[in-house]
Amino acid sequence: MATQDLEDAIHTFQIEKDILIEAPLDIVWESVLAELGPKMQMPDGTPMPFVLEAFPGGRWYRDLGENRGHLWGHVQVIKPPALIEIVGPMFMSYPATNHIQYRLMAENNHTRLKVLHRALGLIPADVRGNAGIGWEYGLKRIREIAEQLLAKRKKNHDKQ
Amino acid sequence: MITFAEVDPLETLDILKEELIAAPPEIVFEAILEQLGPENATGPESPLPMKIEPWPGGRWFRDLGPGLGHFWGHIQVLKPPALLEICGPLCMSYPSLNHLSYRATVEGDKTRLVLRHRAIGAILPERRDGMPGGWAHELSTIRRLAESRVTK
Repeated sequence: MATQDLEDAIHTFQIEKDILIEAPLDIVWESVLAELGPKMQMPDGTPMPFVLEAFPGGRWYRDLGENRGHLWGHVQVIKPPALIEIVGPMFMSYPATNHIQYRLMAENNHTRLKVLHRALGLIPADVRGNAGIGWEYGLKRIREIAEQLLAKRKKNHDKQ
Repeated sequence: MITFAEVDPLETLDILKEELIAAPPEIVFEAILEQLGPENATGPESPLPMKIEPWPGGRWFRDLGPGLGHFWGHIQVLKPPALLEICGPLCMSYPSLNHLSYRATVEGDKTRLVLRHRAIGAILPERRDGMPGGWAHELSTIRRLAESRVTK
């Protein structure tokens, strides 16, 4: 057994990002759930689909089939189309807890999406250093998905 | 009443144990799940049967009957026969974060099983000091279960 120097061991970080998306709240909400779920990708574009059980206490996990997979968290708050919060270990295979919050606000005809990720644990330096990269990509993906959904909605509207 | 500690009570824990088992990893993995479940014990004469739901997010808990029991954690990673990770409070009835991993690798015709338990929290000294002995017992149980299956 070994105990570590706490000052060297326990770390926190906080990442805040926001983006203005040219789409209404309901479309952006749908895009957030899609990006957290079946349309999730790694920052290099490799698909990494997840399952999000969209209810309080629902699991957010990587399903590798036959009951294999990775649990990243549980839904802590879900209030469509304004707020979703997730709490859990995410990808951290060490003692750690994460809190992720997506907050959506209407801004004229657009939607302001704010993401806040806070973590506490035995977090290595490389993880702390690279934590922002994934969120940049994730927000870009949400914007792309929202644009696709909006175009689809406009197309259906024009047909009618 | 709100009490603020003047001295930071947080501690960390890092326990690493390993065992070379004369069985293939598939059998060792079955033995891990059995040991974490019905064969769980804190010592040679101290059975503590638990339930484990073998899927991502599945619960690991002490079932004391309808609606009663102790929740110890959720399965964080399940990749038979190589890796099992659990996160949760374990036995700690105070603020803490625990991460438990079982990693099985082939070594010749045997399996090396590496167990690591790391934690942060207001860990009580008596709990911390008793942990290594508990894990040693659990690893020896896994070996006994796995090797007896090979014999059968």
